[in-house]
Amino acid sequence: MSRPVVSVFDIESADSVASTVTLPAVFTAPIRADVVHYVHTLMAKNKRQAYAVSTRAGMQTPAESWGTGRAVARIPRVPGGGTSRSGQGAFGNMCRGGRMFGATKIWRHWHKKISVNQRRYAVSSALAASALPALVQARGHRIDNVPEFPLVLSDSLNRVAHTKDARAVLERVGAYDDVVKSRDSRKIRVGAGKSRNRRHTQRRGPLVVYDVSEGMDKAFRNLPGVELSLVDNLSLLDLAPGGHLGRFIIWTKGAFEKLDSIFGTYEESAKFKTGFNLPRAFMTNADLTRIINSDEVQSVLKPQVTGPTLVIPKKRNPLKNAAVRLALNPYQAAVVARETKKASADKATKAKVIAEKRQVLKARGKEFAGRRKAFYKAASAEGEIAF
Amino acid sequence: MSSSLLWECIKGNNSFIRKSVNMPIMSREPGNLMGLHSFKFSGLVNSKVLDVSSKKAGSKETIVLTTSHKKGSRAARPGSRLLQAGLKKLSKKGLAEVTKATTGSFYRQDLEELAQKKYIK
Repeated sequence: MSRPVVSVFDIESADSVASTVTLPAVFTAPIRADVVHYVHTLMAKNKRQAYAVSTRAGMQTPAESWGTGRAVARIPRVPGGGTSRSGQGAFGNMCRGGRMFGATKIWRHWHKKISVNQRRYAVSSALAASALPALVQARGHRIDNVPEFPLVLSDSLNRVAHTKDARAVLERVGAYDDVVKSRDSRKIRVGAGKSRNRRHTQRRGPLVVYDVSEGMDKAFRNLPGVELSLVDNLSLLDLAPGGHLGRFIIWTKGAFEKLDSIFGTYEESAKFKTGFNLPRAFMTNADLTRIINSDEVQSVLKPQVTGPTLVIPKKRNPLKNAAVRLALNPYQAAVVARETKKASADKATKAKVIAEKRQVLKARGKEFAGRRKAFYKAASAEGEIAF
Repeated sequence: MSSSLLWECIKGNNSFIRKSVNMPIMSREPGNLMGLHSFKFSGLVNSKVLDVSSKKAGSKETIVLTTSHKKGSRAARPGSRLLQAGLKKLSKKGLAEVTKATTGSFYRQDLEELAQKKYIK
């Protein structure tokens, strides 16, 4: 795999590139969030301090059960008299002042063993993730002004001796936004931890990784959120805080160049980790979209199955809809033709019939009109009413 | 790295996710057209990113089209990965600009319709 070249920036200005370095092979290791998460959950337990209740807690009474027959529950009771404690239940987890159920023991398995290779796998993954600005941004670091990823500064960074110079360097390089984020996120811890010497919480800022310090560790350590680490002992707890990939890392040139000998490359084993070889990815090409759209895949695909081509139309009533009736009964055309012909032939006779009817009606109308008039005349005449 | 791989790392949990009750999962990274937490719209993960948004500078509001830089090497430079171009406020011209940027350049044609709708808003 051809490895790209990374610019090494001058600490004086982000615009000037002092030199370039080939990307160490670790940054091309497979990114395994699952491995990192697993290893992180185990590793995070390794700094725990034991806690337990006292071994004698709740058991410091010569309590004995009163047995049956005394109209009380059979729980062991405190003997003696003269005090309110006497006769009270003891020992049980349900009793007041009794020992708890499953009393915590100091010999709990506090620390977890993780196989060395798994630890190294996780660290490689975490380093690879730190080179991808998408993941670092997703983790929450403010990296919009960082000129290039991974960010490598020249070795003159080792000689930065004062915190104000360190801050200036970070500002020039675009890393100070992350420090500001960390500083502004300082809050009093929620919960009981605040009264247990864990008063404040704040976000993690950039991790500065170096190989040799000539005063820079003291210069950077007081900046809020900034953490320092030697290349030789990179910890997953710093590279993937919370088990989340993508810590913002600032490298010195010396540290960056040392990575190839610490972790090895795909051509040679690691020099400083005996027997360790960089993990290999399951898929050399993880770009699913490209694979799907590639010629090799597309050429052997079966044609896409579309839905059923049968479209059932809306039902139309053939008794009302002439076109549908005709489709069902082709003879209908002949019937219709015959009837229209008959109708037009009948028209003449019909006209005659109508005319005759009209005459009859007219005559009748006249007759009735005559009768109406006669009646009215008779009714309006003086004299006897006669119908 | 491939966008599918990055999405697998990010989809469970990332600092841009915003969840609320009865709402789809939202995401507030720059370059996300719909503000939805999904692979299709993600502004972090995709090599080709499209967004139409409004930007306020004082009292002036401009409509901005955000796209990702064509060069693959820009992915390693977080500052210069996303490009912003103004869109005309006159809707006919602005919509034409959106179409030109998507269909005209064969760039995220799947988002064209949504981008136009968002522009109108």
